[in-house]
Amino acid sequence: MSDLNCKTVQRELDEMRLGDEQSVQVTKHLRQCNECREFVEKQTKLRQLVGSLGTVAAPADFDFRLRARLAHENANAGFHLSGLLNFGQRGLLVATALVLLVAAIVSVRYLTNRNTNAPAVATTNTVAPTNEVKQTGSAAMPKPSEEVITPKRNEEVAVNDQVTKETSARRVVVNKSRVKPPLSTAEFSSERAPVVGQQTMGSEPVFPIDASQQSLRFSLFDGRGNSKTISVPSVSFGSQKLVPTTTSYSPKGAW
Amino acid sequence: MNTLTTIDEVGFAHALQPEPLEDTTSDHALLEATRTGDQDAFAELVSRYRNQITSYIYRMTNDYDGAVDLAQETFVRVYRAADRYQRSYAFSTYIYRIATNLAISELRKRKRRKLVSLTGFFQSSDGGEPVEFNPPDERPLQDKELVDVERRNAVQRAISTLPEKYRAPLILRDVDGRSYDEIAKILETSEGTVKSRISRARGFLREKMTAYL
Repeated sequence: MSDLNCKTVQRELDEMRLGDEQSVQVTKHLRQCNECREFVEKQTKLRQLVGSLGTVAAPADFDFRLRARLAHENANAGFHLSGLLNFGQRGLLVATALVLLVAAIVSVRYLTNRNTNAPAVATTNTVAPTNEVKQTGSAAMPKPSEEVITPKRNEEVAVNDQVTKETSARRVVVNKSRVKPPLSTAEFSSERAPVVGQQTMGSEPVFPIDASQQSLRFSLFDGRGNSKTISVPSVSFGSQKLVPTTTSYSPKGAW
Repeated sequence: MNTLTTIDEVGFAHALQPEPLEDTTSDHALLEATRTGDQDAFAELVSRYRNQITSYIYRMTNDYDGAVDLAQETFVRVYRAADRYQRSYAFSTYIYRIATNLAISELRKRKRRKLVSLTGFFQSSDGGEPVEFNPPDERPLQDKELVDVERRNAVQRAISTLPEKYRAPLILRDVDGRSYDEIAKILETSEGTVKSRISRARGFLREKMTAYL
């Protein structure tokens, strides 16, 4: 063996270009080392093989396709802020957009509040609005859950509006916009239920069925011109179901 | 002996020497012209590098159509980035770096999509990407041309089974014949790493190409 070991020789041979002159030491080593000689033979053959791959030509229409692609990209480039503005300018643009957005929100809120403010202030300057309870049905039965405000029936009920208690006009506006207008109610539990109708046919009392079949309807006004109508279905006593109103043998309107 | 003809030449004789003009046909000059909107200059650059880049990407990906597309994308990127080009590197290094990045990106996409052949593949011995099993056809061939074609195909297939970190330096060195220094710049690594990877790549190829050596 020579001064160089196989690993060093093989590394040196590996880094050489094909056709380069080997150093004297490597040549001397190769004369004595079969393993390295075999390595050189295989390595040279392999590199020749790989080198024989050569260059693959681009297609003939390469330039044409590239031009078309560039033209297409330029046409579709459009408006790109990144290409026109630097970082500082983009930041300024974003900040301006934010300021404009905030200003727009504030303006919209101001206009909205001004529109709702006018009727609310007018309401506070006048006497508390009164809501009217109209009773369209002949038989009025109050709901047990209704809030008691005035014990009198068919009387105008004053609405206890929170707005009138507020001294600040701004507060009034806020409350008016958030609190739903109260509905006036009446309580009739302390009174005797009215008799719908009592007629006599001979010696027997007759109760008109049509009257009890009518639904009870309330119209509630909130003082702003808005009304709400509540319809309560007629109370059924069961026996009515036994006697259909359309039967021929039962006289209409008489039970 | 030099004789001075005018007083202005005293002490400024060196300044009167004509400065070496930049070669207007160099890659740098062409790219500079491209930057100013000279389409012909860019066309010249394309004609210089289209075959090299297409071939390099094809060796990397083993897919000709895909290689052409990526080569076009390489030139598109060069064109778009002409304003940002810095002359600290040779243009060839610059364009090969773009091509390498595109090719490696494509290989990784394929790996994610698992678009490898289903004819059977095995994990490489170093735990790298899956490698196809392509046993050499041992039957005698009639024509020397056919033998060469078959041998080149076998080499190309063997190269395409190499892990990408070994594939690029091997192609740049043994196919394109580039220097270690240039390869190191293209791959943005050290020269020692390049030498080591090329040596390992050849080792892998020797194992795969035993029948042809």
